[in-house]
This record gives sequence, C-alpha cells and structure tokens, in this order.
Amino acid sequence: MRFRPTIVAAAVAFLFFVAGCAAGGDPVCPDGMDSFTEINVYFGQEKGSGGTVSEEEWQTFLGETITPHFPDGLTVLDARGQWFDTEAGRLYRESTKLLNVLVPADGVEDSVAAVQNISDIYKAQFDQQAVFYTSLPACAAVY
Amino acid sequence: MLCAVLRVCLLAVAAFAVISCQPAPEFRCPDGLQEVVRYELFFGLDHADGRSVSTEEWDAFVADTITPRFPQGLSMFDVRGQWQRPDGTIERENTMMVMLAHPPPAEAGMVLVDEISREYQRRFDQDPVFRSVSQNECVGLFAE
Repeated sequence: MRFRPTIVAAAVAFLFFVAGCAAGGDPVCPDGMDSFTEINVYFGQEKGSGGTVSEEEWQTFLGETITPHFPDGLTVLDARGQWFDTEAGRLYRESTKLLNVLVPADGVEDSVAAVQNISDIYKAQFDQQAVFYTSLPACAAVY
Repeated sequence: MLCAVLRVCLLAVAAFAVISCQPAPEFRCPDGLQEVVRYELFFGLDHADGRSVSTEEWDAFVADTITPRFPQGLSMFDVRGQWQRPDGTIERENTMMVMLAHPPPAEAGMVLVDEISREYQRRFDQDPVFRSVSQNECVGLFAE
C-alpha cells in the first residue's frame, strides 16, 4: 500500500501540531522531581538609623524569626547589593544577606505571607525601608 | 477507498489538533509582583599569568559598564568557580557572580548582558563570561 503525499503531509502536520501542543503546555518537572517555587529575599545590612546589622544580630534574627517559618531548610548567601531609590534619586550600595528557600508550589501563598511577616519584623527591628523579594518556578528533589 | 477514508480522518484529526491546541496559558505573576527575566553572570577574576582583576578595577567596571545598563539594582557574590576548558583541563578561579533582572522578553536583557560580557573580555583580556537565563521570575518589595 502506497500513501499519497497528501496523507503523509496530513500525518506530518498532525505530529507537528501535537508536538507543538506539548511544548507549549505547562512546565512539567522530570520524573522524581516535584514542582517548587524558589523564593529569594534580600535583607540589606545597613540600618536606617546608622550602623550595620552585625553578624550576631543576623544569626539571632535567622534563628528566632526566619527558621520557625522554614524549618525544613534554607540557604543564606552573603552578597554585595546595589539598588536605585527612585524617591531619593540616588544609588545605594550595601552588604546584603540573600535568603533562598524552596517551597512546594501549591502552598506558595502561605510562604509569601510568611516572608512578608519576616520582612515586617526585619524592617521594624533594624529600621529598614523595604525588603526585596523574588519568586521563580523550580523543580526540586532530595537524593 | 481506504486511502480516501484515511486521508479524511487524518485531516480531521489534524484540524482538531489545531483547534484544540490552546495557546499555553500565559505566565502571570501574583498581584503586586512584576515579571522579570533573571540573568546570572560569572566573571572569572584570575589571569593565567597570575594577575587578577583588582577590587578597584572590578568596582569601576560595575560603575561604568553594568550599572548604566541595569540601574535599578543588582547583587554580587564572591564565589569560587571551576570550569572545563575545551582542551579538557579543569580551571579553578575566583569568580564574581552578578545577578541581574530585566523585563521580558529574554532577548531584550540579553543584548545588554552580551555588551557587558564583551566589554569585560576586552578590558581584562578574559575568557568568555558564562551566563544563565531564568524566565518567569516575579519580583516585588515589602515596603512601608
């Protein structure tokens, strides 16, 4: 049996569209990995009232305020940050602690509420103007 | 006859596939957050001849090359990196990792990132800057 070109073309078109559909769908994690959201929170170390948040103050804040919200695990990185204050019209540079946590994607609202709570305490405790945060879809697994 | 039926069926299925193939749901950030593309750039600081990019040289590079292209903000991390040269040898060097964000599409920020990378190679006679891109990042501020 010989296929006519139109049949072959239709079949190819069908396969092409199916493949195109699949590629355009929701991102799916590989087998063995689950869908998470990576949250990064940037804690500037310069106090609004002058001086900087000491390593000891940070460790206390990490232990007492952050850890209870994210007991499963977290990562803290030392960074140098700079950001532009549009109100003041000037560039600020400061040492920054970056908090990195992975939270299950289906409970991300609770985690963002937790980060907001942590940030409010940080701003009040260290006289900070604002805390910057980001979220990013991620796949994660533990070996 | 079979061919004719097959052809009609295949065309119908293909048409159905086209109709039912909704465009992927567009990614949307939660209310109050802005969508950005994240770029991570890895700048090797060490030269093969033993020299390194000094802190002063690095700060000047940030001020005159990176900041004008990404004025709203950035983060820098001192990291230890290692990578494999094309000849197979493993290179270890002190590295500055810079995290940047730009509104989508990814190509818009990539143009700026490429300019930064080229200037770094030119100024410090360095290997190409490694960069990674992550899409669908959401950013926001907890402010007063």
